[in-house]
Parts: sequence; structure tokens; C-alpha cells
Amino acid sequence: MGEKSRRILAFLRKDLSESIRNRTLFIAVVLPVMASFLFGVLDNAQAPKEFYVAIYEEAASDFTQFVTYTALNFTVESVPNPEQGKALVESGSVHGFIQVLREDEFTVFLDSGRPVYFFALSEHIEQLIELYLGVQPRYDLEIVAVGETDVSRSLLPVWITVTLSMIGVMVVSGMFAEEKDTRTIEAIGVSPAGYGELLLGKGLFGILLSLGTVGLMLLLNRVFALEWEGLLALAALIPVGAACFTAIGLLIGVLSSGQSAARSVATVIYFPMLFPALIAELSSFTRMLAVFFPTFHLFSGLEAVLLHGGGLGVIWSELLIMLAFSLTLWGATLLAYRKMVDSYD
Amino acid sequence: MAVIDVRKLTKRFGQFTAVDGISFSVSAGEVFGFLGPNGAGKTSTIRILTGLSRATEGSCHVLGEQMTPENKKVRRKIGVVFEEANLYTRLSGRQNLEFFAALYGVKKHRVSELLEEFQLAEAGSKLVANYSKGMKQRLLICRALLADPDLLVLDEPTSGLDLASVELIRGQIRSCAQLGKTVFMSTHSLEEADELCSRVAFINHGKIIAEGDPASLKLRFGQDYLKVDLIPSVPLEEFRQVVDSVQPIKTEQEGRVFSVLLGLSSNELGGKIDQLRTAGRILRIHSQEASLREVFKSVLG
Repeated sequence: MGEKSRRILAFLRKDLSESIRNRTLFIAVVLPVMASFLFGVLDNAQAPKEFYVAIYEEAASDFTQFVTYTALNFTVESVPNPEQGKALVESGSVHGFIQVLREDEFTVFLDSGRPVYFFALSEHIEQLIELYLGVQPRYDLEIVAVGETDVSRSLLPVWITVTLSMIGVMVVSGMFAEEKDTRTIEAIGVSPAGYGELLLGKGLFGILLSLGTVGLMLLLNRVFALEWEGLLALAALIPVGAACFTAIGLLIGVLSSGQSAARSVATVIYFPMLFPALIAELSSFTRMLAVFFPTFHLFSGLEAVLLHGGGLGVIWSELLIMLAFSLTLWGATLLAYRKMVDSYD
Repeated sequence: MAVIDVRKLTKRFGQFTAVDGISFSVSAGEVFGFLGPNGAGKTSTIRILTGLSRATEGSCHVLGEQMTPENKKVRRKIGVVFEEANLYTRLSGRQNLEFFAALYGVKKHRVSELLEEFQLAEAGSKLVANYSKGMKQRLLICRALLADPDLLVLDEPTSGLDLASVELIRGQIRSCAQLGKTVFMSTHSLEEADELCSRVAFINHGKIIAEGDPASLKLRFGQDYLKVDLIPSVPLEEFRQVVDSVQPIKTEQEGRVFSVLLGLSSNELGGKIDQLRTAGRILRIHSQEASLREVFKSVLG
């Protein structure tokens, strides 16, 4: 093993040994894992406002036209046959599919992988049909859950996004800044260890911690029963996500004067970065805002894999964007660190 | 070859000049004391010397290499003890040393040797958070000695320590010097510098105001004196008049005993002692050489 690799591993070992006694870190790791496990079955009360639905009319009717002009928060797509409508729901392209069997008989297919949409959309469609018929409901309405996704897995993309960004932005930034507070960074500075070695060692620790935590989360939620395409996609997307958020954490740590400054900056960055991604589909504005954040692309990729069984072929764009974010952020971190060392007084 | 060679070194922080064009060199095997009041520029110089900080102007060569934050060539040959106990408190003493041993490419058995040598073998497995100040300081010195460096840079190595730790650390500094290692130390303790250093430099307001071996500095800036301890045998008022008449350097009182310090170079020393004898019973007379403290006071005005 070369001297550099030995030093990088020394940083990694040191951070791992320290982390066992770091309460903040313990909370950051254990809390999301337990939450993903325990609260996975809870419903999310947040009501979405934008819905994508497919409609197939068995008999000639003006139901599609009615929905298009009446429900402005519905984006409607007409499909030529019921199979295509169901396939759209299964792939996650639309939130629901309405099959108009007769003038007063409907079958609605909703995506069970998105419980928030499932319940909100079923209510909306019920109201729409009442309005369309102009009478108290006498119709036959059957709601069929599509897919075998259990509710706990449906929340996993949220938990994984929260965990990766929390460990990266909040924990890694704090651990790097702590080296400044305790001035241990000076002891490293006078040692033979170079720039890149410290950053790589710390970065590797952040990435491994993220992967370990998310791995545990996936295990507890029995996600390893996925198809190999899905597992391959997760194996590519999660490390890239971990690298991206670790780089953000390191950047904050490098630019901050100490731990308390790093914590303040990390908090200011973390929440605004997280929420647009998770609520992107609430409106066109939140979606437009979310695309600028890596959290959104990670979340979308995870949703495609975990909820709709997508593989690398489906999430390639999210993966590329995350990779671009990671490389840019690592480059920025290295430059900031060089600048910090250069002007260190 | 000079182990440390500093030429016209300047460090500015905005408008403030911390180090103002200082030059000095330290040869192999020397214990060099860098003395001065707080804010004189000692720590800024040490930071440049150890490659932590960049000089605004001038040059600083250590073991033949220009010291900059990027130059890592000679770092293995330099051991540094910082003023603050910059240790990982969530790790044990042994873990701290093992981490730095890995950074310096030092075998693990060296860690055990040093823990033993500095009486930390038993405490080695305990968390540093539970160490006393003296234990932390000893651990810092262990860390600095890990790679068996040619140059040891110590910033206030015994500040605020108990007597046993002070003695242990001073003993180690002496051993390093005996082994031919170069020691560069800043200290507030002038007695320590007097005891350990083969050469010292006084720095104030970023400039070196005096430099040399302690003996020659004392000769140049200090004054040797005679100390006369006596008990007054006449009324105190009259006694004080007699003491004033011999023009002492200083008078001290401890209980009934007065100590009168007379300059060794002053005229009629015998006459002055006779005069004191008329006012009191002399207990003892002894000569005392000037200390670095007096040199310090003298050069700093």
C-alpha cells in the first residue's frame, strides 16, 4: 500500500473510531433508520394539488372533455385502450387511470406506490364524477390498487434522500469544522499528509457512513428483494448521491470558521435544499425550483427504482445529473480547501 | 548547515505587522529559545517555521527546504508541540498516537515506547477527554517525537503544568539536545530558557531586539549583584536611612529579615557592607549572577 493510501485510510479509521462516541452523528444515523422502519406505514397528510391522469372511454362520452375543462389541476391524457392506461399507472407516468365503462359506470386505477396521491385522487375523482353526473352518486365505482408496493417502501425515497443529505450536509460539515475548532487540523497541517489526503479520507468516511446507514434502511425495509436491474440502479445512484452530499458537507466545513458557523450554514442550506425536492409535484413552480437541487434528482431516481421497478435505463438522466453535481461540488471543495490552506493564518 | 535559516521574515495581517523583517539561524544540536511578551510575534513566526502559514515577505528555510504550506518534503523530520492541546478528545491517547504514526509512516511499537517513556502507558487506553493538562502536554510531546524528528518546535511546552510534568518535559528537551537534535522553543518562563537554551532571541513588536547565548546576554544587559541579608538592630526609621545611603539595586523584606541587593560593580562595596553592619546584624552575604529575567526587563525597557 502506498503512503498516500495508508494516510487516507488512517483518516478514515480515525473518523470511524471518533464517530462511535459522537452523539450528534449517532442521532443523525439512528433517527432516520428507525423512522424509516417505524413510521413507514404512516400516511402523509400533505395533499398534492397537481394530478396526471389517463382516461379511456369504452362508450362514446364527453367525460374526458368534462374533466379537462372542469378540473384545472388535472392533466389529462386519452389512451386508446385500458391496457395502456394501466401500464402508465404502473410505470409511474400518471397518478391514476379512469376507465369509463358506461355513462354511469367507472373503474379507477390508482398508483398504490404513492399513498398521498392515492387517497387525494380517489376523493377528487369521486367528486368529479358526482359533478359530471349532476346527481347524487348511483354509479358503480371500484378502486383497484396497482402494483405490490407496500406503504413503507413508498416512503423510502424520502427517507433515503433525507438521510444522505443529512449525513453529508449536517454531519460531515460539522466533523470537518470540528478539526478547526480543536486545532487538530494544524497538527495534520504540519504532518506529511497533503491536501487531497485529508479531503479524500474525510470524504470516504462520509460516503461509507451514508452507504452503511442507507444499506441498513434498505435491509430493514426488505428492499433487497428487488429485481437485479433495480438493485444495480440503486448501487449506482446511492453512492453518487452520497458523494454529492458529502462534497457539500466538506465545502461547508472548509468555508466555515468553526463548528457553530458550519452548523448554522448547514441548517440554512439543508432545509431549503430538501423540501422543494420532496414537494416538487405539488405545483409547476415547486417542480421548476426543484430541478436546481440534487435532492430532487436523487429523489426522482429513487422513486423510479423503488416504487416503479425502474432500472438504469429509466434513471440514467437522474444519474448523470447527480454525477455532474458531484464532480462540480468535489472540484469546488478542493479549490476552496487549497484557498483555505493558502490563506491559513 | 543551519537547521533553521530565517531571512528578513515579515508577516502582515492587513495593516498589522506581526513579524517585522526578522533574521536568525539555528544550528544543528542547539536549543534555541524564542522569548518575548504576548503578541510579540512568536507564534506567527512558529506558524511560518512549521509551514502552517505563509510569510508575507522574506524567506524561511528549515533543513534546507523553503517552508510553505504546500511543501511537505521535510515535515517528517519536524516535530511540533502547539501551545493548545490539539488532540482528539474522543479517542484514547494510544489511538491519537497511532493515527499520527500512520500519517508519519511510523511503526506502532514506537507508540508503546513513547507512552512508556512519558509515563502514559497505563493511561494510554483512556479517552483523552479524561486526561489532566499535564498528561495532554506529555501526549503532545509524544506525538511530536513519533517520527524521531531532527528538529523539535515547541510553543510554550510547560505553560501551566504541575512541577512533575515540567521536570519530565524539561528532561526530555535536555535528552533531545544530548542526542544532537535541534530544539526551537518559545516560552514565557525565562528560568526555563535560562536552564535549557544554548541560545536565545528576544522578540518584541515583531522585531528581534537581542540575540545570543544566555551568558553573553547577561553580561551585556544584566548586572551581577551581592545580596546582604540582615536583621535591623536600630529603629526601623534609622535602618531605612542607612539602607538608602548605600544606594541598593533593590531591597526586599521577608519577616524580620531584610535583603539588600548591591551592584557588584559599584564602588566601595566593602564600605557599604560596613555601613549596613552599623544598622543591623548581618546574617549572610552571597553573590548572585544576573538572570534572563533581568535581561528581559532590560532589553524590553
